[in-house]
Amino acid sequence: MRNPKDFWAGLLFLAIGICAATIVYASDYELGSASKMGPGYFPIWIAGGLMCLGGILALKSFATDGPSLGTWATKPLMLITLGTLAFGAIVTWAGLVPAIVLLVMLASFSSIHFRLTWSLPLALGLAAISVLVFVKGLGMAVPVMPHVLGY
Amino acid sequence: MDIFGNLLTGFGTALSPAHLAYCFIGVLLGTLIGVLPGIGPVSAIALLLPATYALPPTASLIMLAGIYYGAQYGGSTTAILINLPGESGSVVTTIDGHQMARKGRAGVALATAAISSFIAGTVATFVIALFAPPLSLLALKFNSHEYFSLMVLGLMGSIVLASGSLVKGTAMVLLGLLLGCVGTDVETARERFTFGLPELADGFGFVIIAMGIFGLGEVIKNLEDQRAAEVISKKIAGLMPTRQDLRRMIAPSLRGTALGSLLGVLPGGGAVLASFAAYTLESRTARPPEGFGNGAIEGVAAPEAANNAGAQTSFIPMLTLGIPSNPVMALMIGAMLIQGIQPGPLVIQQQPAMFWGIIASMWIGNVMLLVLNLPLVGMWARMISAPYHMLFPSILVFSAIGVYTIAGKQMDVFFLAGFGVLGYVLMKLECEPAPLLLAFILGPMMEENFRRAMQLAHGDVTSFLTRPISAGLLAVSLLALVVAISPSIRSRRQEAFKD
Repeated sequence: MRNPKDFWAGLLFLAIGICAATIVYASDYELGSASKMGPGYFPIWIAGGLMCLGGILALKSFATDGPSLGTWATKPLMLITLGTLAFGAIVTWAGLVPAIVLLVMLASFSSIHFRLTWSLPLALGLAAISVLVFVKGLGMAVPVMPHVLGY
Repeated sequence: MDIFGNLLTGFGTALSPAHLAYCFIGVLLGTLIGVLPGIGPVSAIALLLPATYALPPTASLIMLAGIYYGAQYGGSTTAILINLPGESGSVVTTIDGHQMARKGRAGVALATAAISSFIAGTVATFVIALFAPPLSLLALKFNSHEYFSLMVLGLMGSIVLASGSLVKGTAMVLLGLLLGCVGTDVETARERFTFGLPELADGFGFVIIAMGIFGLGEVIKNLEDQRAAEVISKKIAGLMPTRQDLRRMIAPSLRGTALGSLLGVLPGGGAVLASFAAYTLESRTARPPEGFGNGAIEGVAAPEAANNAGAQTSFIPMLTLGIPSNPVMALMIGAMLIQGIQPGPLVIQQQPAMFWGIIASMWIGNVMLLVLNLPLVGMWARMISAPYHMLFPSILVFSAIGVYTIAGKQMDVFFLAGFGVLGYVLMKLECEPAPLLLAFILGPMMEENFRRAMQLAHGDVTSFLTRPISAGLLAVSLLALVVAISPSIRSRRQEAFKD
């Protein structure tokens, strides 16, 4: 292919369209008729459209020239996703402070400028600001620290 | 129609000390967040949304409107000082604005942006006061057919205006519509695409998708290339424009305002289209001695006036029709729903104090921006020089807290992470996310109106073409598409987005 960005975008849309159509059929969403549409009518048209456009994009990518994909930010992608997942996983029972510290440490590790000397203070500072603003200031019902510690 | 009586009601509401304070806080916070590189109005509003949950409806909307203008202005500051547009509305500003900054006229450029925005804001406030009431009366006549066609126009607008290929834009719209299908089907109560997860019974939250794609996705994208952006560290001297500067900015500001007010009303348009169009118009009419692209003050004044006017008049379809014309307005609708207000033509009649209060506070917010920013320009400049590696963890923290505090569900944070990955991949493949977001918010409304319209017409698709207003809206959408495809416009469009 000569246009990788279009090729992969096309493939992505095609795949999403196929998945959606499969779900519509497999879970038996009724299509209904034009005057009385069922829950599957609108989604199946959209899925069909996505498949068509995805196919067109992918095929056209053999005929047009385009820039390469370039480098992927693999490390930031993984660490930031992991950090966000970790935040969600522990915030309910461990509280805001540990969740924020974990997220900031994981995320800042993806920077080429990573130093413990700035990332740890940043993590603690953000935790303090968040607790002050969201919990004390706006009165949101979010746990601050683990229940074990009596908060 | 007693405009002045209405505006007086509005100022009565907006000038109460509490509302003035919220307006000020909104403008200040908005500027503060908007100045940060890589954060535009969408992310700024999404980040600050939780801060308004606890406020009464009018106060929260006044504050959000303030955040919007503040963020918009903050984006221009970043564009001028470090040549990095915080949002698409200030892309054009970088061309001449940054050149002015390099010539040591950063202060004048920033002042020009503030003054022309203020001129635009003042005019646009009157435009809204003038046109919102009659439009809401017209909107009461709208039926499912008209609503559907209007949304088609909105989506078409977002496809045509998105940078990159039309095929990708259309596919992004379809993807947004598909994401909008997730959740319980309104008519049959059948759950769709929920995978049995109770968290998905009401569909994805808009804030989750917006923050995931625009917040997380963009952070990851920015970390691809970790070399520092060029920063103007030269001392900003000579803030005030000279008399000659002022004379030169008046006409472009007014032209930009007129164009912006007009284009802002169009669904899918708003600030971005307005600023591009204003710059193009200026390059045809004005003759700056230094030429465009070399720091012409006209090249800053016109797009800045236009994007502010467009930002403001884009409230018109939101407040009168309940239809968001851009992602920012979609967030505003989300905020209104959280406050228990159903946006639509009835708001103006049922809650006149709130409606006119918001409009009056727009003007007050513009005054505050002017007063606030002229003295604070030096501080913004210093803030921008904060290194990105200390900035992005903060963005992540506020996104995660913002999403978690919507409903206190950890599953929402997991979705946030997922949309971050999707956002990064889409940006990597040069698929602009704005059409997806707009389609996502319009999707459920569109499907509902489509089904109702088809039911009324007994399955006859041509009924969309036999009703005059609906047919007119569809004709305009088609025209937009034809114009975008036509070869001469196409090449110019690509040129415009290249800058």
